[in-house]
Amino acid sequence: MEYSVNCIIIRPGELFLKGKNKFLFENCLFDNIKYALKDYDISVLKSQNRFYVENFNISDLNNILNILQKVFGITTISEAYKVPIDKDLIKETVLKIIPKKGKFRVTTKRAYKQFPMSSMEFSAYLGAEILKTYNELSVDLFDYDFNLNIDIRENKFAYIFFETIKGAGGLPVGISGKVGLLLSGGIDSPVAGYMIAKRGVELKAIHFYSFPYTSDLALLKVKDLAKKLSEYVKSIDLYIVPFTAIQEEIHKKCPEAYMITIMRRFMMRIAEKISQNNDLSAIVTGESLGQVASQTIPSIASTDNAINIPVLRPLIAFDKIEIIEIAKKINTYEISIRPYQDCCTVFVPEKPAIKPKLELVAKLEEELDIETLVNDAISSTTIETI
Amino acid sequence: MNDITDKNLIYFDNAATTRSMDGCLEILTKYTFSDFYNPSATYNKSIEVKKDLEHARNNIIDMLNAKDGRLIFTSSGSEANNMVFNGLSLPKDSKIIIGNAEHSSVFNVGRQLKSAGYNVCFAPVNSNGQICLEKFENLLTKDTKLISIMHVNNETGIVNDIELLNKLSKKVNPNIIFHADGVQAVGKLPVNLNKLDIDLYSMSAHKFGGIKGAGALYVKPHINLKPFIYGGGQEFNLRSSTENITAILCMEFALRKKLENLEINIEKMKNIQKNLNNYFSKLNNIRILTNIENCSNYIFTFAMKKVKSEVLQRILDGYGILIGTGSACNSTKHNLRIADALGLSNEYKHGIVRLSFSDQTNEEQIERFINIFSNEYKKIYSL
Repeated sequence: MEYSVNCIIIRPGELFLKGKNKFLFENCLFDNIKYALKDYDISVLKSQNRFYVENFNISDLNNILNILQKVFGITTISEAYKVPIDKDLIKETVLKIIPKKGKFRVTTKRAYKQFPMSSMEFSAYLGAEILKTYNELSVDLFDYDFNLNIDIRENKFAYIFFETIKGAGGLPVGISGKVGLLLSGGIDSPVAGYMIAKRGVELKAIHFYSFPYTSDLALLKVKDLAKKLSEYVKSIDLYIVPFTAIQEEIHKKCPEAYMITIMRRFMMRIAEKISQNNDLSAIVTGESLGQVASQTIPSIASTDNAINIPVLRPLIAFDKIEIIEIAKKINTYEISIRPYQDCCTVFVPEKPAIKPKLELVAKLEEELDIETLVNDAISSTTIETI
Repeated sequence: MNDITDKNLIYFDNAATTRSMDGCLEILTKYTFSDFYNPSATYNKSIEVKKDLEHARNNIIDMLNAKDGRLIFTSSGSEANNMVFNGLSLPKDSKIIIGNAEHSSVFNVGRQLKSAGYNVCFAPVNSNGQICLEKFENLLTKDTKLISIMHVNNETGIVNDIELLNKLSKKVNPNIIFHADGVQAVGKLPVNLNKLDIDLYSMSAHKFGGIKGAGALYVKPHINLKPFIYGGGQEFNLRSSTENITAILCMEFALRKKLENLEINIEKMKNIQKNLNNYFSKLNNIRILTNIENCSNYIFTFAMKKVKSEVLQRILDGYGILIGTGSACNSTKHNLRIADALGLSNEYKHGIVRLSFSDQTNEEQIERFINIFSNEYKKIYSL
């Protein structure tokens, strides 16, 4: 018998969910796990509040673990040795796989109550067998080098493992619906996308593109960001909205100080329309209060005022430094800091209005044919699935 | 997909890189598939290749009138420039003078040496990118160890009087080591290293029709360099690595071809520059940065007020006209360094356009460029 890891235990989160919700949650997570591992020849099993990945090629183990760590809805993951419930078989396996030196403890959990020994008894039994066999091992229940876990489950298998790694947490993507993320190319918006996806939403990304004021390299950067985010949310449809005509029109007809406010109101209107057309239930932005002039409370009020769909701002209370930390963790930071500018840097006034007045904004917009501009932008929008 | 052989394509970024000359392909084929032998081996086939390599070295030395010194082949101009600073082993507190508008492969090494404790001074340039003589002289002191000034400025095309700057330096202290970055000079104007009398000189093959992957550093015999790459001892034990024989032979070939017709081509380029100068000097809100009286005739650079050059670049790209925006790299910081060195005001800083030509550039292309430029420029400027 060969002793290598033959199973990955996946423990889902939010276990307080009950009834129908729990069922939906589990099914959604089950599908997401299968989708995330679709390139691997494996089997995924569901049994008593847990999922198990089995029949994988041992050389794929690390890749699979990395992928699973990005699946929302998973609290913890362990690589394990799965053996039929049999006292001798468990002992034999433990003696083979246990490190031969150091301090250890044994923790048995017995969900399968027909097992003839209690958890404590079995831990003591195994501990004694280990000490008998290896004289460089000693027991320490508190200050141990490794914890030998024996999970005796109702499915009549025991799972033997040492470590438990943290999963991505949150809720399985899809359980909370679909949203439209305004994805600029900066540091904040991918993080906002990640944060909200963690609460179980599927992402569509909306990018405003200002050729020739911004370059193809800026667009490529956005696609690379969407690709990184897609590791957490299956795939992302990227809506690329040509925005130059609108910016030029605002620049021509409206005072410089209101450029950003009016521009952002257009972005919101377009995002709202795309949302309506594609069954998205909210818009998500990377705004953080006070970070720049367009992210003051009056500015937010003036953009929200242009639309009727909810706008979610997961980063609203985050400091830049905290946002950067997450961006680094999810590997979007290096992409975001590439030096290509996005549409928000085009025609930027030296002194933007930080307290835009709604009545004035509405008056200024009378100069613009809002409906035509929005519709033209939407009809020239292209969609790329990433 | 744009193709350089496409007649409608206008490529005005030849200072970034230029099309390799016809004839390079034959060299490449020969030394890659037939005479592919390692020049350092000792059988006859290799000895033949080694002879070809040394023949190329000697020819380049002849063409640049560089008989006094030796020529070390490198992989690029940037490498040759780096080799100067890394190879001289100057003591920590040495004074080094570097031009303020040097190529980043000199400037950034200078910055790095400065942070490592060297006394690095940057010699100011005028609005054309030329070293200010008076300020340069003020910087010169007896304890100066190394000076690095580019022969032709890659952004504006201005020619520095290397010969004079070297003489002035040696007058203050004959032991000062003088290096010139000649990457934009070789093949574009007559270079006579014997006459320039400087100690070190860098060049790059792909800027004058060779292929990418070869450069060279000219070194006078009394200059002691320590090895830049340790290994098998190639290139006088200074730069180990199997020699890139194909790129080196293409370099020799391209330089030979370039110099054969240099005078005629320079005259042609002068006319092109003159026409552009006439056109742009009539435009408001444009600052011409190339002083056509004293420059490489292959470069014409101007700055636009309130118009970003990268925006113009993308618009012209749509017409099949490829222009430079002051540097081949897209980093905003870099663009501003040069703009600052030239003393450009904020309104012009982001608007630097560099047009750089090859011997194939013709009046018809210039005319087409001017027509399209004038239309498009008006449109963006009015926004």
